[in-house]
Amino acid sequence: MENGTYAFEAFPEGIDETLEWIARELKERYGVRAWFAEILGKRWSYRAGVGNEFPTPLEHILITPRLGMVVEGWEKIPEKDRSALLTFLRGYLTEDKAGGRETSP
Amino acid sequence: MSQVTSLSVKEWMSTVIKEEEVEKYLSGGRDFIDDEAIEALLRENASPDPKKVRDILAKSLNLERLEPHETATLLNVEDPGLWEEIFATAGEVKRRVYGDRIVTFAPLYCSNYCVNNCLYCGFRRDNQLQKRRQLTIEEVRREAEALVSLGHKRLIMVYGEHPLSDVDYIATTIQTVYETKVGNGEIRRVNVNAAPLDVARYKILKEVGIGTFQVFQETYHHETYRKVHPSGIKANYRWRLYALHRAQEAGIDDVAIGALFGLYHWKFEVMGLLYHTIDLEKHFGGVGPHTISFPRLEPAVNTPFVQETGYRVSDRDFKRLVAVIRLSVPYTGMIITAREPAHVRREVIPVGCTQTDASTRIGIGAYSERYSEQELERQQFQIGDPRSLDEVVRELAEMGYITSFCTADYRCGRTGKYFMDITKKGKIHHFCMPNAILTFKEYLLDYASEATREVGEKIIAQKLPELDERLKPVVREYLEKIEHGERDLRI
Repeated sequence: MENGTYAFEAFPEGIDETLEWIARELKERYGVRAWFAEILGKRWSYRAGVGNEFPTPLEHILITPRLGMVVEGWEKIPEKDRSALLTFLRGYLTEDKAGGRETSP
Repeated sequence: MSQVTSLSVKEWMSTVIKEEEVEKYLSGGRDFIDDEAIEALLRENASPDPKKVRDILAKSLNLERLEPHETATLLNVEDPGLWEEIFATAGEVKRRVYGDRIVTFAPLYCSNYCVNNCLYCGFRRDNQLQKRRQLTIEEVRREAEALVSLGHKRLIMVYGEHPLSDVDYIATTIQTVYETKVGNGEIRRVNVNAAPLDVARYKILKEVGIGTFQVFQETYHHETYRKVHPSGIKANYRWRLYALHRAQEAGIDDVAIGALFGLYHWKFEVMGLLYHTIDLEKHFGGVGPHTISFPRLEPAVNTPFVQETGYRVSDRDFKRLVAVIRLSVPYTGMIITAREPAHVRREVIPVGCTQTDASTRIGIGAYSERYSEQELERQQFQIGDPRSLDEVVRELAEMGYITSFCTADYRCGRTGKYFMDITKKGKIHHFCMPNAILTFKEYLLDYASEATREVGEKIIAQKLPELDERLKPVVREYLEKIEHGERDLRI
């Protein structure tokens, strides 16, 4: 934030649907609940996914500086699948988004 | 401040309102407050049958939002015995949803420059007796340090509507507060009370990670609104009415509504709050207000309107309106503030409030400058309960409440739709009570007086056995870790 100009990181179009799908897959394949949140300073702001109605131990996973995943039972997912998921998500979120930035008036 | 001339203020004012951002939400050119329909509902549901009232109470106990005719029915109850049932049910609804915890925060007033001329407000533009001041960034830091040193973890930051306190100033001051640390302490959540913005400006605020954005409509009654807001941006009823629609559109998914009771009839305003809730839920996938506030009009310097209004709300009616709001929107947070004197807060908190402020100073710069007397010429209004945080925490504990400093939901993605979904199912207390106990323990160890610590430890011991069996071991483990110096443990 400098000189009154603000650059917002834009997410790919349809991101919430993609994240919803991933969350459903994690639930179906591994019995793992996960939800995704936009990181805004101290705030993790809900975007998509399936949370629990009862507290359980959580992992906070930073996917990019802008998007985090909160997971219950991360350890239930095999290491190679975890790694593949994070690689996919990071690639998906950091692909070229030229023209996708907005500025304030 | 000299760089802002009256001409540049006028130019700035002309850039604020974007009519197209309002029109898109209108239905047939009308907003969602139909004054005549509300008055008619209040008339048609007069003298309600007790059975009908009890059926409505049962619906609230089931955590279902009421329909306008049901709220109108409750508002029209006259029988004192039936009101006692209403109060008891409202208290029970609050316990079912949130448990016996009260979230605590402090207000931080940053600027009292204002372009508006609200007849009831000490900050109004034409009030020559108000001493104008805007905190510098360094002064904001000092205020934050003073508040952190008291033990606060949550603030609501308050700004007048003026180019000096535009969105850039708001964002910068919030970032300053978030960066401030004193020992173990820090502010973990900043909520904002500021003038309505357009979508682009809300996006700027969203970026700095605000908690809740709060805009009070003041009065939902169109004609009264016009009379008490004679000029300035705020004279535009609909720009304000749809302020939180725009905030949600910009991605701020925790928004807060309120009405200033005393401008028009209290029953009408409760109906307005309900219609506002319904419209937000309709447009944003069931996500309505995160909290509802219900301040009463209080005296302000050089503000005769306050004495002249014919709609002052008595203590009796105030308790009634709080209970009816609780029953009408069973799952939403409700804030009672230090505007109310201690005896009113004691009476009203048990009928459904979930949040309150403490150690409240509303003069600009009042925390770091440590003046203890109220100075009306630098305040928006006169507060009724200036007690310290320690005193309020102790009294709440004596009343059976855990004071919560919890900000966990906001920091792990339980916001907006996720938060609302579990709250509507009555499950949020599984998160609230354990985190309330953990943050309360931190407060007792780091900030409380000996007397407060004693009564606080007793209430923790009393509430622990009431937790779900599955939660007890982890809460006990975390409490032990906190005793040994760990901080910010949460579930």
